[in-house]
Amino acid sequence: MLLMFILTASTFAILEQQRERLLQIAIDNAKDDIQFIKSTLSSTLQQNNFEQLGGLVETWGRHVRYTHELKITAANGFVLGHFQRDTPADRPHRLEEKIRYSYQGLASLVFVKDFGSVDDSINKLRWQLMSGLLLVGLVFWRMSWLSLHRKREAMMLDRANHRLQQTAEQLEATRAYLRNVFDSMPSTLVAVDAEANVTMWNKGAEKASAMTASEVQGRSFSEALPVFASRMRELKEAIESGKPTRIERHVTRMDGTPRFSEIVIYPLSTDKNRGAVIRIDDVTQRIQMEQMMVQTEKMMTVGGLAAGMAHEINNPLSGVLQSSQNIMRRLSSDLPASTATAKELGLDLAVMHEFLERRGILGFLEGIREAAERAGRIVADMLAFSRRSTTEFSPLSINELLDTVVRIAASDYDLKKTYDFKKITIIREYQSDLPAVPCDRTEIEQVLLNLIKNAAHAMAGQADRTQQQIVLRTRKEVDWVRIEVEDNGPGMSEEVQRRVFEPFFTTKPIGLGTGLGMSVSYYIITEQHKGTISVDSMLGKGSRFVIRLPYR
Amino acid sequence: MPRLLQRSFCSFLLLASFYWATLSAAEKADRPIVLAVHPYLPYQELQKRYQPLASYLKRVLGTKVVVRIGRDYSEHIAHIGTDRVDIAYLGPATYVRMVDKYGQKPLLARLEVGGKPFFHGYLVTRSGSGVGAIENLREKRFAFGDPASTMSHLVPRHMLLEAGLDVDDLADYQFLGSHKNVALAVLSGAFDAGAVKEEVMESFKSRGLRSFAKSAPYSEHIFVARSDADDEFVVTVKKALFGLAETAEGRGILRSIKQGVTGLVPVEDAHYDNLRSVLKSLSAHGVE
Repeated sequence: MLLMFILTASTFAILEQQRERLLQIAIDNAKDDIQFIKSTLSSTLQQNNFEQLGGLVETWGRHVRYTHELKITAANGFVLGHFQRDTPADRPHRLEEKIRYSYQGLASLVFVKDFGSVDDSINKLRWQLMSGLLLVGLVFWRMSWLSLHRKREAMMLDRANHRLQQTAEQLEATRAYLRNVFDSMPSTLVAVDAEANVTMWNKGAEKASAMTASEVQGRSFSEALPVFASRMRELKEAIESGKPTRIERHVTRMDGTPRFSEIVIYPLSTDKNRGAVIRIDDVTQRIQMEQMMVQTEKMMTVGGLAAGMAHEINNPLSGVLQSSQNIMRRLSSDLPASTATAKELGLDLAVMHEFLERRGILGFLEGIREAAERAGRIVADMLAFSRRSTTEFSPLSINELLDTVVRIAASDYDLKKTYDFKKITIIREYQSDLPAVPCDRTEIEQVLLNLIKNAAHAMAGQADRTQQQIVLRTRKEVDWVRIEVEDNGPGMSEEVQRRVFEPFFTTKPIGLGTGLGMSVSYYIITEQHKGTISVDSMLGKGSRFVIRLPYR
Repeated sequence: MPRLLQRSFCSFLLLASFYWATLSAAEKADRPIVLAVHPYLPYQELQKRYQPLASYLKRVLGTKVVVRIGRDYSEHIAHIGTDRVDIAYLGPATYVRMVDKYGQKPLLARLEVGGKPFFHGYLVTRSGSGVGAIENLREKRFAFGDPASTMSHLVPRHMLLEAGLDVDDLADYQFLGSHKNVALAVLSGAFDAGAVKEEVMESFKSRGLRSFAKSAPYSEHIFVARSDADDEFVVTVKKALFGLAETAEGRGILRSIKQGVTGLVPVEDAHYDNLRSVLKSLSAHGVE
């Protein structure tokens, strides 16, 4: 802008200077012109060619630059030739010459130039220059504006770019986060479009179907997860209706055993993306747990019934038992009351005894007593079992517990009769300075008893019962106490090992055992006591159960 | 209307004779008719002025008519005199001289200007010059036109002589070439008086030109034919020229020659007798 101003000012100054110069030049030219005209007119006049003057004046007037008026007047005032422009002169410059044309006269040649044209020229030049400068100025200004604008634009673009980048990054981060959330869900998450074709597929789904996201992209849900293909109807209905749908128990079979899945369909409600998100969770364990709890409830109910029954039975039972014991005692010759009474009656007790024995009465009496005792024991056992008290933790010695359990097992009528527990050698390998483990006595006893009983049961089936043994080991490890129950029985196959802790899984014939023992033991050790229980077995060699219980 | 009928009949006759003339003229179709004009104006101007007439005559005669401008008066006279042209237009004095030198020619027509087949010459001065009569011309500067010009030299010169003056009595005298030049010269004060023809005098009146002497009437400009032109030709051309005033087109052609020309009328040699005697008188005085 300043440059422009300076340029304009200097141009004007130059032009003004030029004007003076131009004017001077024009004046000089005019002088030359008039001299030329004068000489021509002079010769014309000298030839007395008055006729031509008019034409000459006209011609020159028209063609000589800046001529406003050209007039040749005779000495007496007679106008011999006259040319004048119609428009008034802006800047008249008068030149006059005298021409001798006759003895008497000097013709007067008046030459009026209009240097207004010079002004005009200067003005025109000035305008031209100004417009030129203006143009240049405009160009410069535009260029500078453009560069500034461009700079600003560039800056704005930069900022916009930066913002865009940030947004993109945020978007990416959000997407990654969402993806992470999506993937980190342990459930199988599948997003489908309105046609039930897969649009999103999380890690859980990949694991469940053994197909990657890229493989299933765009394929039908039924194709991606054939095990749930039967649910396509519900899926399509849910998408259509927009109502979330829950299928609580979808049964599939894997390796012959049933697996349960919970399918929840959440339809997407936006107009743009119709479709749904499907969550599938494997609830087999939960279902089994529920079933187990139901069973437990049943059992508790039964237990309750049993307890009630037991109490009712105990009364007559104790009567039977007492009576039978009394009978036995009074029949023997030990009691003085009995001998006195016999003497009184003249009864020979020995003969009576002989009679009773020969007739088997004593045998029957013994049988009654034993039966009553056995019934009582069964009742007692049942009562003990049904007495479900809340878990009470107290620091206990595992070694002690093991000994107690062995004792219980030994007196177990079942074992005595059927499995002859006494025949089995119990080997104890206890660590002496075992720390006390906080645990529930009843529950741990239950577990250990279960293991020992199972071992005995397993070995009972073997033909050769001579070398049978159960080894009981305790060891202190870093954070826990290690308990081992090892037998040299028939052992378990791989498959059985895998399923040993499964609820309702049993190798015993139907009717004997519910298959709950190991699963309950598992539950007690892992859930209640935060320990671990595992089995290690080899067919033909034996089995070893390892329990770890934390002692801190 | 009988007049119209007359005119129409005349025209018809004219046409008939034209065709006849054309037929006879067709025999000479190879060579164009030359109409010679003396150089009293610039060449282009004269061509322009006389072309319409030439075209008209071409139509009439059936032969191409060319306009030839003489180099100067004497050449012009020589051409017609020696029958090198077919038709010539001559000023009065030129005619007289020509006849004097070369003998009679068939006369075709003379100009009728402003209804008159004669004109006057004027001695002019500017107003306020103090020249009121020819007698005042003593010791004055006088402007003639062309030496050969009837009205701008010969007649005025004669007038001076008649008045007892000759050019020696003048302070100065010059031949300025044209009537217009004379008028301007006089008006500008270069000359005290001059001699111009009537029309020039009239046109410069508004600018201050005054006449102080008027000449006798002299017959107007004349069209002549070459001496060996056949009668048929002469008659045809005469009729054609006379007929120009009849039609608007013809009047246009006439005006083209000179503004104010109203017709071309019959002419006799006798019409130039007064001029003849003037010229004789002048030549006696040594003026050629």
